[in-house]
Amino acid sequence: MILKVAWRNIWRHKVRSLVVVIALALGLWAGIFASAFVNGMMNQKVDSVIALEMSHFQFHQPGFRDDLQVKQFMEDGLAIRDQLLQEPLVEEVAARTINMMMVASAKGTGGVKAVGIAPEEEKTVMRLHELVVEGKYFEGAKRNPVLVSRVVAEKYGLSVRSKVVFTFQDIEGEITAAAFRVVGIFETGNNMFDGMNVFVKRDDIQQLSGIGTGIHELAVLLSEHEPAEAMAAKYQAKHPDLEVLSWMDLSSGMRYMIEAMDLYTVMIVGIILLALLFSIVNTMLMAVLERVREIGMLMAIGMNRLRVFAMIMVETVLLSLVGGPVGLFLAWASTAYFGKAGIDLGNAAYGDFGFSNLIYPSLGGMEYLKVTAMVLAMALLAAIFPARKALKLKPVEAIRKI
Amino acid sequence: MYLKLAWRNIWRNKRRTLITMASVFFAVVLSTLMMSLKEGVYANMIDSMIGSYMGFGQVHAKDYWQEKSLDYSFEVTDELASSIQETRGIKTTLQRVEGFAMAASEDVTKVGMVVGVDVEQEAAINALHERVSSGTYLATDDQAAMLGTGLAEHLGLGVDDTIVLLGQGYHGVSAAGKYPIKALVKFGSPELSKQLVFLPIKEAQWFYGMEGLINNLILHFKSRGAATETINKLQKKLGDDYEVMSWQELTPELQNIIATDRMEGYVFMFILYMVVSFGIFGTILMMLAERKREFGVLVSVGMKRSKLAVVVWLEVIMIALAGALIGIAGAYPVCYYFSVNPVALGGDVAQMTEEYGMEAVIGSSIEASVFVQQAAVVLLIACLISLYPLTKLLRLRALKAMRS
Repeated sequence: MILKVAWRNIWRHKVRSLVVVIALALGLWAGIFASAFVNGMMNQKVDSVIALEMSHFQFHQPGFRDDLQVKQFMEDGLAIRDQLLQEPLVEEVAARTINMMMVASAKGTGGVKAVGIAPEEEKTVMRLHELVVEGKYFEGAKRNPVLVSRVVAEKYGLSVRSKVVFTFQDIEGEITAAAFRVVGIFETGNNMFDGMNVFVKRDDIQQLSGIGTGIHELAVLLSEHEPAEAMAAKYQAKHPDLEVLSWMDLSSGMRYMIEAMDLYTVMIVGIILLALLFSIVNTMLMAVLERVREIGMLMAIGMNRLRVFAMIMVETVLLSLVGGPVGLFLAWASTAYFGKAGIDLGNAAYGDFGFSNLIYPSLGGMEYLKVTAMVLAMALLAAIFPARKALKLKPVEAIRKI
Repeated sequence: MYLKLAWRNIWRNKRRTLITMASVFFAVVLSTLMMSLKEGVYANMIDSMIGSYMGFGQVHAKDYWQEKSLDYSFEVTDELASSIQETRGIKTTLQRVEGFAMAASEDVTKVGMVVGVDVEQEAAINALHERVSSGTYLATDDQAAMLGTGLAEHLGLGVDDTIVLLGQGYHGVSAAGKYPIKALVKFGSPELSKQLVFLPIKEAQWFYGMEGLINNLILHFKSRGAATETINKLQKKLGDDYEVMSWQELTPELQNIIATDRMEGYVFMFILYMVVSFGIFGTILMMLAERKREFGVLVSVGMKRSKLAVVVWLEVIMIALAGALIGIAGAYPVCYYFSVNPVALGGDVAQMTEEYGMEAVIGSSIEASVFVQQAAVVLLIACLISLYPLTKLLRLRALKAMRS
């Protein structure tokens, strides 16, 4: 019976019902879209960090990442690489040497991090060859080729084919100088990364710094993001004398960003949900108080308070059942649209960090469910207050009102 | 007359007025809170990253910042000093010599940033002496160095050990020196901590072979808000031989992080505005439906539709204005509370924030502009929404309205 009354009430006041339905749909859309946007932001940052800097997990000598000393190399690094390549999940492993070097040119002096790589390996891991904008990827020089970024090239006045002298320490701690020839210039779009790193051939550095076949870093690229932490833990157990860390731990900034972002998102989505709560409470309150006369009449002819309360709640549920799917559809459609087209944050964006300006919102099914449940719970909660208000009406006074 | 009618209407149905006002009120409070939290986070970021070392503005010889070479040095003559000091908005200045050199201990070498500082001024203005974690702070005439803790650890050096510095000085002369370490200084930012070597400015000038010259003049402003204006004025005054740069130009990265974050913030603000404006719209729509009969009666007894529309429009505007004002009043204590008692971050996040040299808190800003701006935006939304009843009433059909 109550269901029937509630149903009729909804149709009797089309404007009112429509307002509530739209408020709900909009709220649901807002909640889901905000979450999807945050999720998209996160994914984009993770992807670019993994691709360019961290891979999925890395091996070092303990302490190497802090000190970056030549002597902290892994002697059997290449053997570990062969082992890793047996794993089905492992896509490619890059073995690198890393030396801090002084660059001196007519234009200035400064420090860079010279990463010694095997060009073939990095084609998969860092995809460095795709970033070369001038010259060739390790072609065109017989001895000691070096790949520098646009930033470094401008800072030290270098161009393709120019010669540059690097000064660094060898394994004995002796200061060594060697001339390198610039074969190419790359640009990642991440100015911090570009200003810091130059790429040379691993074999050259191994010889110059006297570490034989030793390497400083193994960067492992997996076919999926997910198992990175588990794999890192597994190999840490296998090689207790080395330091094996997943990308989350390698970049303290990244974990920080992710956790801070999580916290921050909770706050923002919280504020949006709060706004939704108020907007629904207000609308419902208006809807109930508008019906003072009508509810008074119902009570006067014998409908008890519990039933009135139930009637209003049932109305809300029915309206939610309409508003919910509409909101879900809106959210799905806008997420799908912007997920393809991207939201342009303008040129102010993370250009300097190699993050693209476009954010692609996306959200997993579980998250959809969570937000929907939250919003619907909020709608019911919002209905309770006005419904209680209706209960307190005194029938006679209510009817008397204009 | 219109005003009087509108005013009476507002008071005639207090309940309805209150609900409409509440919807505006909550809109203002929530959007202000959101903005205020964001601005608070930026202020914390800027203070701890810029204020601790770099300063909010710097003066160099032209092109120094691009080339970062000691060759772009200049002399601070009395004339130059007083001309800068007399510029309105400048509080004080700090002279520095900044260059790079290889810093070496017995068996480890690392690129370090050798900074010659005016020891006393730096203590008075930047409280550098408070960062000393072991040893004693430098004196003006010392021939000694002070190292960032990160660099000291890397080189395996402590107080009273000796550090060797090797580099290229003014106009390519080779710079070499050996200094006892008098103190270690702690910086939050790992980048600074792992690079900095402080020398008294005289000693640094000798080391780089540039007696009497400096390459970096740090500006301190009376108020941060007027910094840009002051910088422009100073640039004009000093002419083409010098470059005057703001922190935004000095660390475009930080500026970029903030700018991007703001953009992301706008997306959220947009979503929030959508929700709140529909909240306001909903209540006004309800009000219209509720008063249909009343309007119908008024029109049929001879009130002009345009007059009626204006009265209702005034009502909405008045309610929105009141809601916005009360909203500011309501948001202020909330934001004030969070600015005085910032939410402390816990666990990993806290530790990492501190590693970055920031305080591990999320506080809110109580800049007046945040409140005014948000109230204005919500008010604008309310004004736009108030056009709806206006058009609706102009087309009111009295008979139909009365029958409903």
